[in-house]
Amino acid sequence: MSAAAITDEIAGIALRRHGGRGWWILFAMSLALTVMLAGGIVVLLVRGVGIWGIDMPVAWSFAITNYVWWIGIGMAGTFISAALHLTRQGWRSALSRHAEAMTLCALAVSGLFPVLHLGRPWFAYWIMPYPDKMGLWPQWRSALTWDFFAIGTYVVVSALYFYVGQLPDLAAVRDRATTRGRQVFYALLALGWRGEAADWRRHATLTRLLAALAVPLVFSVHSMVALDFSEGLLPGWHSTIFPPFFVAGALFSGIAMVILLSLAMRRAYGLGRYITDVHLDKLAKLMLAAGCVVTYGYAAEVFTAYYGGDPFETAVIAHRLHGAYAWTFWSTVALNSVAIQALWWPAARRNRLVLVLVSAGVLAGMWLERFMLIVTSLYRDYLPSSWGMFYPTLWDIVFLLGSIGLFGLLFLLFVRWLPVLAIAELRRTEALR
Amino acid sequence: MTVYGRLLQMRDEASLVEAVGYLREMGYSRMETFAPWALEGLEPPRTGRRIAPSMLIAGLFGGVGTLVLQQVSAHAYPIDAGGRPLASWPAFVPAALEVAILFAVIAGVFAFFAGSRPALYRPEFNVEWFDEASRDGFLLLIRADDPYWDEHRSTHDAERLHPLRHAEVPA
Repeated sequence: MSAAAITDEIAGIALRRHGGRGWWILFAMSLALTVMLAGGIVVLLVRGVGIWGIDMPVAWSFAITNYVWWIGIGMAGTFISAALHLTRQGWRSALSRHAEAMTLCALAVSGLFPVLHLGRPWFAYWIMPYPDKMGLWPQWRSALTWDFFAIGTYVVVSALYFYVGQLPDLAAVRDRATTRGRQVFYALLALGWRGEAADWRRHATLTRLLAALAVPLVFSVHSMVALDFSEGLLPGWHSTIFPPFFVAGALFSGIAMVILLSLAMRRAYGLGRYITDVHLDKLAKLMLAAGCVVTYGYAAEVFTAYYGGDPFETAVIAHRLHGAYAWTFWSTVALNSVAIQALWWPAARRNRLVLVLVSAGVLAGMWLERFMLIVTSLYRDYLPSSWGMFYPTLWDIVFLLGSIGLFGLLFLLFVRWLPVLAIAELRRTEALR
Repeated sequence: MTVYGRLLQMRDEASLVEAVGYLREMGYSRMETFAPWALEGLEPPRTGRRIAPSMLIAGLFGGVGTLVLQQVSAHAYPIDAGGRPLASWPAFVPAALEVAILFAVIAGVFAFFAGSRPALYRPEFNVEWFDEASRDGFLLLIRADDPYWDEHRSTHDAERLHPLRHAEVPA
């Protein structure tokens, strides 16, 4: 394909006059779920976190699971974009833009949950260090404070990386726009990008440096999320393997989401020439690799518990494997460790149905894994008198489905208004060929 | 009507690079090139060299500043958790690391925009086919503020480069 054809096609997707029926149907569904989430938030603010099924001893459940799940999904976008940029993998051009958009949407959803979970969300800003009249400062040794800095930085950095990276593409859409309103809209976003030689040079320098900072940031952010757990002294959480284990799990679920979104976009907009079977094959290999690390994490947790011989650690593992929530553990293993083994076969990696099923399974499996890790460590306390069960309420389901709706809504807005693929990079890859 | 310069559309990447070299030899120094992707060897030397140092400085400032803030606040609002020292340096690293990255990235983006000076209006946008630069056009602008600029000679020089088309850019 010529550079002109690539530009016209991708810019044309952003500039279509109508979104298409499929887009509107999905948009309506996502909007409905988002409205439901907004309703849930209002009820939560009025009545408190008691509307969820959480209680002592299981005081963390769906909200924290959703938070870790979404932020995990958000990890893969920046990783795919930045790490493959640094390693000069030309094939990333077809995936980087929507993977980055997915990161931003997932982060926006994720950030809601820890705030809503506070009980008094209107005091969320207390975690920030600021000079106040009470002379109050955050507890710097707490992983929750680290989390605030990690997520805050990650949101800002991934938004800037996403925006700066697509300046040339926004200019391409601006130059193709025919109506006045759209010309102004994209001109404001493109900030007068002209493709000047010095600007290209600065742009290359900046994106390379941002990528170099984004990769360690990705790893640090999800490590902080893991430290929320391993800093606690609970058996099953207090483990040094948690940070790498969580990072691998985050990339695992994020790549699964990238595969699903790539397949959906490829079908909806006929992008088969850009997002080819080779791309999906490589993503599937990455997912398989991450899945193997995650599986190693499961094995290591069980092994160290028994090898360490601590009776409480062993008891938690026994409860995970055989207790009331054993079904979550075995479903996790089935979805995250067993099902992905199909991807060793090249034919499976090129089969769309298999990819959809395995990726959707991984997403479900990673949600269940976080739920299992959180709840099984909490529902059996040290003393049997403090044992208890967790049962989700309708509101738990509302917040889970609503978060999926909000993610869908944000992503649909992205595919409707912004260039869905990295036009400039695809052009360049094509020219270098 | 004043003139901002003359815009030429060259046939391809190679002819644009060649034309720039040719004009430089002739004595022109204020030229701009617009292309759909980065072309090697066209940018003025030392472009974008402020980005990395500003990121380093801002990153260090953010990181060290956060360490100092934590140290100061740990004494201003002492939290005694099991008799641990107030200056818990290992625990101060995570926030400092994140703020260092945050400041470095923000500084990098500012340095980038400071260098490229974004503007919503540029005189060359007045040329109808300027939008080719964001598609597959290789454009060259000879600016009228070039000391070697002379309206008639420059038009003649432009024609000698055999561009696909060329046009005057009104100021």
